[in-house]
Formats: sequence, structure tokens, C-alpha cells
Amino acid sequence: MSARRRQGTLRRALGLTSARIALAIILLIVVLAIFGGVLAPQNPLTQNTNAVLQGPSGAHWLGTDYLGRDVLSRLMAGTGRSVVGALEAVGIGLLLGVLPGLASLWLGRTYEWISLRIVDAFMTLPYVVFAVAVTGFFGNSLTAAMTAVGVLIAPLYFRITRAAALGLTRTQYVEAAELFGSSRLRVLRTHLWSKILPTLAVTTAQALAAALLIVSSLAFLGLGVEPPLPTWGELLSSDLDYLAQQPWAPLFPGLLIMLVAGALNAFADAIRDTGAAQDVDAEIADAEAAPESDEPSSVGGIAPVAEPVLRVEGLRVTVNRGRTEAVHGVSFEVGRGEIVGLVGESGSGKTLTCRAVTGLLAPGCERSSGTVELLGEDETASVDLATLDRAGWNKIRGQRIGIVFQDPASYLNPSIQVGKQAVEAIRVHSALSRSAAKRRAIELFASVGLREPETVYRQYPHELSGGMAQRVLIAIAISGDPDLLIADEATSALDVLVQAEVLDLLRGLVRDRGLALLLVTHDLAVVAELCDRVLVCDRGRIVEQGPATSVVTAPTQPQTRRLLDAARVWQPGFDDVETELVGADS
Amino acid sequence: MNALVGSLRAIVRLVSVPITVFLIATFGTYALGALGESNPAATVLGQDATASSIAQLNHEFGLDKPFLVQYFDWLGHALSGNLGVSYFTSIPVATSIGQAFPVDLSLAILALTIAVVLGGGAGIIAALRQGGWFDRAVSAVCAGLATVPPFLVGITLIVLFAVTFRLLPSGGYVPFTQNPGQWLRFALLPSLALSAEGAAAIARQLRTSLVGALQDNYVLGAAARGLSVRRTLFRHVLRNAAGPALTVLGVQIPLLIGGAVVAEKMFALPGVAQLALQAGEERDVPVIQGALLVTIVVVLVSNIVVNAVLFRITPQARRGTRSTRRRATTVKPVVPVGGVAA
Repeated sequence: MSARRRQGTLRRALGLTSARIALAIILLIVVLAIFGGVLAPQNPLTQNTNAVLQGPSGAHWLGTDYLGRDVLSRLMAGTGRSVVGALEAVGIGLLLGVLPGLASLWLGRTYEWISLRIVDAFMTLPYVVFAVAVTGFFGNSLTAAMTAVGVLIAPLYFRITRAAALGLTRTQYVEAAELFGSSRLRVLRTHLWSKILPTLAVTTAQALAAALLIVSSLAFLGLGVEPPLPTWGELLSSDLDYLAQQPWAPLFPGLLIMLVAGALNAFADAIRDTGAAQDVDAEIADAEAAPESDEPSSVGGIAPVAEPVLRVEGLRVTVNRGRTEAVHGVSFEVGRGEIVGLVGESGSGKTLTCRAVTGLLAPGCERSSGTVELLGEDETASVDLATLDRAGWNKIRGQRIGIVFQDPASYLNPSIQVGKQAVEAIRVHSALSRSAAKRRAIELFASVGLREPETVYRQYPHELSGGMAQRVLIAIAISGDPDLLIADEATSALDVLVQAEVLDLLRGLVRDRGLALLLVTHDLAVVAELCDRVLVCDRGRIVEQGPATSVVTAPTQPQTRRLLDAARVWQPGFDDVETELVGADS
Repeated sequence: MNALVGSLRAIVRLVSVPITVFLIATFGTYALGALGESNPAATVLGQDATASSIAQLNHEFGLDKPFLVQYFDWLGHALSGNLGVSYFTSIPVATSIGQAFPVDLSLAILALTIAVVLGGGAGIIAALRQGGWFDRAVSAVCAGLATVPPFLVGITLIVLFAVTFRLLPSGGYVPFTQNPGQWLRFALLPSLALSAEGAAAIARQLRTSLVGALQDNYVLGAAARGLSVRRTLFRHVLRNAAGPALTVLGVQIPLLIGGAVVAEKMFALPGVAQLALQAGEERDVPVIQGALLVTIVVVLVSNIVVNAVLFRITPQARRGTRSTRRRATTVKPVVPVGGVAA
């Protein structure tokens, strides 16, 4: 079974052109390693004092070296020793690394701790330095040098095997297998090898490439060189003594080493990439629903609003670098002191609309037409958001538009105290001193209902509960005294009680500060509870809008009814729509 | 109070592992030296040595004692700064290493600076212009460097700057303390050659973690608060993405030292590696042991420094055992494969 799976990986990897070329080069090198000495056009050891350091010619395709030996023949004949040296090092690494790596997971804590420290100890030793020492201790030979390198490759195999096995033991099917009474060894035999063999194949290809480079580095230092027998590294380093006469000579062995190392690395990449390929496809599938026509939103045009703060007209948004239109001409207004709900299923375009309004569209998404205006008390305070550049946006966001999101803690920097992040936002938008900004941040924290605001100030995002993090985010969002607050699924991830508290807080902010609030949500319960007006979004259009109570109790559009039904499914057994929806959990 | 205990515990953890590793590494290398087939007394005394004179010299070197006694004697002396005496020159090993080490230290600092500036800059720009020509060029150069024998970079530099344009010397050394300007002239090419690999590793890692971090929600959150791209990058993203790059830097230190051996030979620098290379040829065990010891200490100390910096910039690490309900782990595990691309 494991063999079949690996074959699958290999076959898929070989579907790539780069992998095929790489494999061809590797096979060629294997042939050269075995038959290089026989195939060489001339004897690689024959010296000719009349023809030293010659350039390429008919007789010597790649020229001759300082003893008049044929460079091409030496390269071909040297392949064997170079490859054997690299194989020896990697083989020793495999032998010493894999089994202890597996054992570290099964032989108990003491062994684990000690083996990890031994691995650490090996890793303090640079290849070159250790090879110098070992050849000093035991005498200079290719075997001694490559043994030294192999011993230091072992920790790599140890760690990779251990990591792969560790990942596996934490998967549920291995736990299940153990629960059903399979012994650990049995689990290991049946599941482990099929998982870690591809990893080991990748590592081995990379380690071979690295070993080849190390052999040549060591040869440059005279380590592992046994003249007159040629290796690539020895050829390369002997060329260096004659740089003045033949500055191009290192090119031949150098390019050969690069070619082989590059082929091995490309092969490793190909195996790894095909192994991971399945995950990538899942990532791509975040596209919005495909449009059926691009007629603009039919419903309602713009409902007149008393004191509009935000006016969106004919907004269209394309995704997929302009190939797909996902929002088809959306128009609406939000007035001062008004709470407007933008509801729809995921993929209905509500989040894209709200991102377009805030200028935070992801790369590849673009506002293709329509206007978005932020209206102030007089003409000068009004801004056409479509004309803003990056610097312009920085004066709008955080100052005139505040934004809060779902999963609030993730929108704060995990490694900075939340109070400092509030201070940063305050100071970017005002001339307050550090200490004044700190006082203001603590005031804001208190005003959004955070008990012990000074303690919260010093906490990191991961130390806050979801409700507290959302309050912090709201506090930062209103720190610039904005006209418009946009809440993008701001309560969806919170549990019902906390959700109600945060909704209360939002309602209070609108009442006390005269904010306009645009609430983006898929949750009609929230809409019924909080909003004055509601816009129902479906497939990139607004299909229904009106006062929240009438839309929720008497929907006219099938899409709205569907949303309502969806809410009902989760909380059956109530007849009063309002109760039912409030109880509906996200 | 609790914080104090926490910090103390963290410091103990920070130091206890390196001490264990130090003991294992020195014991291992010392044992290898003892296992080696070198018979210094016979080598030093030459062919007409008698058995008794060899035994006499072995006694002077302390080689007739049990192995464990030898190791602890050596370790005890080493900790007090006495690394023994060269078999051949009778110069104290500590003295020769003391003379050679500043060469490597100054070179390594310059090389690390170049690696961080070049690699860091390239990684940042590549991440910001993801998919652009600069990004592709950086990827290509990094991939290329991974297939080039490290010393080829040095040779290319020599051919270009010393042979062709004659801008910089191809070898030699003047101590920094003697003449900083001259030192820079001699140190620039070797440091550049040394830094290439580290710069590539840093650029690659920083780009990867920056591209990941730029997609994190908190970046969007910063934009929502009206923070400029530059502020977000330098105050927020880099801080979180620097962890993996720093870890890579830690992994690079041994490779840097290995590269220094090659650079010293290529540029004829009077550093520790030249000392070790010559000692290796002569099989002068005390000098080799001394060089290994210095290497191990340098690597461990730089690891401690890297860990301490990581510890400072990631509060999660500091608060350690406290609940980590948020998946705020900023330090993603580094693919250890980078370590082998020496």
C-alpha cells in the first residue's frame, strides 16, 4: 500500500517538465558514475608536459589542466568518486538519523530529552570544521571526510523523521487505531512509512545536492582529496591555483556541480509540490457566486434618508482580477443616528460591498464602477472615496470611518499590548502626547464597558475573551470619533449572551454619539434586534430593503424568506418570529 | 513576583539546554580526538624515538591517564582559559587562538551585517512586490545560490574585483584595531563571499513569513485603523515575521563558521580556521580541540542570543504556560532543510 501511494506521488511529480529534465540529468550522472572511467575519451591520469593549461580544442574538448591531463576525461572519470562520496555521507546520515528519530517518540521522555540534546550538540558543529577535525584525528581520506559530513547530516534526518512521525501520531486515525488495540509498532508499520517516505525522499534529494557541494568545498581545502584520483571538487580547486592563466577553467566543474545540485533540488521540489497540491485547490475556492446577469440592483434605488453620512450609488465590484463581477450595481444610504443592516448568505456580496466602501478590497478585487461618498456637515467635509489614494484613505479610516470585524482578537497584533495598539491609532490621527493618548485609551476602554480598563490596557490579544477583544476593537474604532461605524459580522463569533451585550453597546454608541452604523451580518436575529432598516443582499444585488420590522415579519422576496427559514431551522418550536430570531444562534 | 519567577524559570530554561549541549559536544569531540590514531609522541620525536622517550612524552602530554580523567582535566583547564599546548610548537593553544579569533569575529560581524541588510531588504521588497520582477529575481538568485559551491562565490568576487578591476586586494589582512580603513579593504571581499548564503536564506525566509503575515487579519485591522503601510510593515508585520528569519539566522551561524574556514584559506586570512587546517595536517590534537571548542562556544552563545531576542519580541513565548487560546503563534517552525544547504 505504501509503495503504491509513493508511486502515485512519483508519477504525479513526473508529470512536471522540470521533474523530467531533472530526472534525465540524474540518470545521466548515474551512468557517468558507473561507466565514466570507461567512457572517458582519454586516460584521466595521463600527463603531458607539452600541453599544460591548454584551452578547449579538437583534441581536448574542455582543454587540459596544469599537468596536461584531459579535463573532460577527468570530469567524467571523477563522477564516480564524487557521487560515491555524496552517497556515503547521505547514507550515514540516513542510518544514524531515521531510527533514533522514530525511537525518540516511543522510548520515553529521558531518551527523548537526551537524544534531542545530542542532536543539538551535533548541530553546533559546522560541516567544514568537523571535517577538518576528523581528518586531523583519523587521517585525510575521502571516507573520513564524508563520514564526518554524514554524522552531521544525521540530525537533519532525525528531526525530519521525528517531525513527520510526530505529526502522524497526533492524527485521529492513529489515535483511533491505538484505541482499537493496535500496538504502536503495528501502527508504525502500517501508517507511518507511507507518510514519511515521501518526506525522506525529498530530504534525501536535497541532502545529496548539499553533500555534493560540501564535497567540493572540502576538496578546496584539500580534505578528502587523494591525488591523483580526480573528483569534481578536486578539479575545481586545482583550477583555482591557475586562475590568472585560465580564469574560465573553474566553469566546467562548477557548472557540472550546479547542474546536478539544481536537478536534485528541482526533483525534490517536484515531489514536495505534488504532495501538497491538493491543499492549494481548496484555498482557491473562495469565489463569490457567479452572476446570472449584470443588470443593476432593481430594488428601490436609493431610499431617502434624513441626514445621510454614506451614499453608495451603482457600486460594482469585480473579483478574479476583473474577470468576474460579484457585486452588480448596489446603491444605498446610511443616515446619522441610523442603524442599517446589510444581510445575506455568505457569497451574497455583502462583505465585498463593505470592503469596497472601506477601500480594503483584497488583491485581485476591484471597484469597477459606481460612487461611494462620505458626506459631512457641509460640502468641504464630503469626500468621494473613489478618488482617494493610499494616504487619503489613512485619513478617512480610523478617523471618519471606524471598522470592526468578526473574530476580533485576530485583528489586533498578537505581540503588542492592546492598550499600546489603541494609543498608536489615537496618536496617528491626533496630536496627543503619549501620556494623553494613554489616558484617552483608558477612558475609551472604560466607555465601551471594559471593567478594569488599566489591566486590559496591558494585556495581549490572546489574553482577552472574544467579547473583551470586540470591545477593545470597538474602542479603537471609535477613538477617532468617526461619523460611520461599519461592523462586519462583528458579533457572529460570540456566544449569545456576549453577543447581546455587544449589540447593546453598539446601540448605545449610535444613540450617544449620533454615529451611523452599517451592520453587515448573515444573522436576521441580530437585524431584528438592532436595525432600523435592512438591505437584503443576494448574488451581488440588493433584492429587498425596508424597515427592519416589516422585512423580518413580512418578507416580499424569496431570498429573504430563505434567510428567515434558515434561521428558523436552528430554533424550531417558537411561533413568535421575533423571539425565534433573537434566540437563533449563529 | 510571579513575573519574576516566570522570568527566572525562562532564564534557567534558556541556559540549561546550552550547558548540556556544550558538555555533550565537547565530550564527543574530545573522545573522537582520543580515539584517533595519532600518536603525537612518536610523531614529534620522529623515527629514532625509543619506547621510553615516547612514554616519557606521553606522560608529559597527560596521555597515559584514563580517558575520563583526561577529559575533565582538559575541560577544567579550558574553563579557566588554558587550552593546553601545541604538540609541535609548544605555543599555548589559547595564545594562538586568542590572536586568530579577532580576525574571524570582525569578519563574521561584517558578514552578518551584510547578510541582514541585503537579505532583509531583498526579502521585504520581494514580499511587498509579490509576483513582480524583483520578487522573481530574488527567488532566482536564492535558488541559484543553493546550487553553487559556496567558494565559487568567493572566486567570482576575486576574479571580478581583484583580478579584472583591481579594486580590492585578493588576500591578506590588517587588524581593525590597527587601521579600520585598511581592515575594511581586506575584509570586504571575504565578508561579501561569506554573507551570500546567509543573505539568501534570510531573504527567502523573510519573504515567506512576510507574505504569510501580510495576509493576517491584524494587517487588515491596522489598515482599518488608518495606519500607513510603512508603519504597519515596520511596527507590526516585521516584528511578527522576524521570528522565523531570526531562527534561520541562528541556523546560519554554524554555516557561517564553516564558510569562514573556506574564506580564510581563499583570502589568506590569519584566522582560527587556518590554525585548525594546519593543525589538521599535522594532526596536532590540542590545537584542533581548541578550535572545536571555540566553534562550539560561539555557536551556542549565538543561539542563546537569538533565543533571547525571540523571547523579547514574542510575548507568547514569554508567558509560556499561560493559556494560548489564540492561535497567535508567530514563530512558525523552520523547515530544517535549510540547515543542510551548506
